[in-house]
Amino acid sequence: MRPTAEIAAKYFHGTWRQSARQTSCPLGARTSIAGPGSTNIPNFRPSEQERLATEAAQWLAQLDLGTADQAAFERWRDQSPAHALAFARAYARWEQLDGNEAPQAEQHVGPSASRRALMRTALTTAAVFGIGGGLLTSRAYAWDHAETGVGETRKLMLPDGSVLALNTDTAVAWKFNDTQRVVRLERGEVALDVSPGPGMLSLESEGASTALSAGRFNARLKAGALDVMVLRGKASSKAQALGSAHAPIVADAYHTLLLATGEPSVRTVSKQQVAATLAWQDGEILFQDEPLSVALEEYNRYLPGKIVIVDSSLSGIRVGGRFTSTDPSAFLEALEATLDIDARPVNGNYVLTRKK
Amino acid sequence: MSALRPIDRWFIDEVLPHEAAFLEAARRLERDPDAANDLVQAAFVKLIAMDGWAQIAQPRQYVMRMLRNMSIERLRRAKIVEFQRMSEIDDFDFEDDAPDQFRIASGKDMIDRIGKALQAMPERCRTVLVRRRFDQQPPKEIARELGISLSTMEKRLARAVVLLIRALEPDGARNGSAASPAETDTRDDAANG
Repeated sequence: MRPTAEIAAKYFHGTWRQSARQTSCPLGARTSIAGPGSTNIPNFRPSEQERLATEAAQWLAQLDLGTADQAAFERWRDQSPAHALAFARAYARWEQLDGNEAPQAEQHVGPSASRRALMRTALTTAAVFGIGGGLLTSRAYAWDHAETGVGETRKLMLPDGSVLALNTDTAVAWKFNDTQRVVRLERGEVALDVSPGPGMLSLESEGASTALSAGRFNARLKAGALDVMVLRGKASSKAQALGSAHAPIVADAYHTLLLATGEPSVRTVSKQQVAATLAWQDGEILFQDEPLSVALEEYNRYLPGKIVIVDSSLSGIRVGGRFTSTDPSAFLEALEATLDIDARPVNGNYVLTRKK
Repeated sequence: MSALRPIDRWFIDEVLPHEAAFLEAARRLERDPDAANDLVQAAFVKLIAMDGWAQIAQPRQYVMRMLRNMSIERLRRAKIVEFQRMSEIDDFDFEDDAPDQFRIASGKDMIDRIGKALQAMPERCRTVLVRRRFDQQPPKEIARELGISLSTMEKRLARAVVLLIRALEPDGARNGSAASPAETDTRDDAANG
C-alpha cells in the first residue's frame, strides 16, 4: 500500500500564522502604523519644515546642475525621514513643471513636444540613476540589475511604477525608456505587477521573449524554460527568431505560457497552483499533496542548508501544508511527529531517515 | 546612488498627490488646523521610512486609516480624554469614492498655480529655472550667457524651487504661519537685489 499519510494543513496553519505575524510586513492599519515605540507625534513646526525645504531645494539645484556631492547628499537625506520627505516634496514640485509651458513673459520659446518628451526621459533617468548634468547619453539606456541570495526576497518599483518582486536566488535586469520597457529574467522567479504603459512590457530570458500587458504575472525560469503565469492581463509569446513559423500565442488570466525550446504552449492553472505561486510573496511555501521529494526540492530553493533524503523509500510519501519558507523547523517537526521520519542536522544540512 | 529611491518614487506618485484630501480629513479629525498639519506631516514621515510600502494596495485609503488611527492614539494619550471626540473619530468615514475626480481637478488647478508661481517669482530665479527646467540648457552655457558663476546659479535655482514648493502647497497647509505669496516675493526681491 502506498503511504498516504498526509500532513494536515490545518495543523501547521496555526504554527505558521503565529510566526508570520511577527515576521511579515506589518500592514494592518491599526496595530502597525505607529510602529514600535513611536506613538509620539512630534511637533513639526513650520519653521523646521521651512528649513528642511530650503535645504532640499539646494540639493535639488545641485543635483540638477551636476555640482552635487552624491555621498554628502545621501548623508543629508539619511539624517531622518523628515529630510527624505522634504526632498521628495521638492522633487515632486520640480517634476510637476513637466508639460507646462514656460511663462510668456520670458522671451524663450516653449519647448517642443519632442523636446519635452526628451526632457521627461532625462529627468526620469536622473531620478533613477541619479546623475547630474550630462546624464543624457551616459547611462540613459543602460541596464539596471537586482538580485537576491538563497532565502532572500526583495520588492522594488520599476521606473514606470510597475512593481517587481524577486523570489529566492533570483537575478533580474531591466531597461526602461520612452519607447520600451524590458525586463530580463536571468535566474530564479519574479512576480510582476505591470502598470499600464504606452506599449507592452517585454519580459525576456535567454532564448525566450514575451509581451506582457498591464496586469499581474509570475515568471519562473526552470531548466531553461520560461514559465509565465498570468493572474491578470495577457501574456503573448514573441517570435523567438526572425522568420519563425510560430504565430504569437496568447495566455490570459489563470493560464500559463510556457516558453521552452519547442513551440510555446498555454495551459490552464488550478486555484491551488495560483495559491502556491502567490504564497512565496508572503514568505510562505505551500504544498498540496505532493511527493516528499518534490516538496523538498521546492523547500531547498529557500534554504542555505538543504534537506536531504537518505532513505529513498521516503520520496513518494505525499505531504501538504503551509510553512514559513525560510525556516523549515515546523516542517521538520511535522515530519517527525506525523510520519515517523527522523530529521537529523548534519553539517548544516538536514538528513531524513525512517525512524527505527 | 540615486536622487530618488524607489520609496520616494512611490511616495511622490501614490501619496503626495492626495495631500489636499489628507489635510481636509485631518482637519475633521483634529480641531486645530496646526494639529491637522502636524498629523499629516507625521503620517508622511512614517510612510517615507516604511518597509512594506510596495505591498500597500490602496495607498490613499491606507493613509486615511492611518490618520484616523494616529488621531485616536493622540487622543488616548491626552491627559483628559474627550469622549465626545472619541466617538466623533469613531464615526469618521473615509469618504473615499472619488479619488480620480480629485486627481483630475487638482491636475487642472496645478497647471494654473504653476503658471502663477512662475510669474510671481523674482526674475533672476525664474530665468535660471526656465532655462534649466524647460529649455534644458547646459549649466555652463547658462552661466556664460548670464555672466554668473555656477554657485550663484545654484542659489537662484534653489530659491526658485523653494518658492515653487511654497506656491504649490495645498490650500490651507500651514495656515497663517507662512507669509502670503505676495509678501514672500517682495521679501525675496529685497533680499536678492
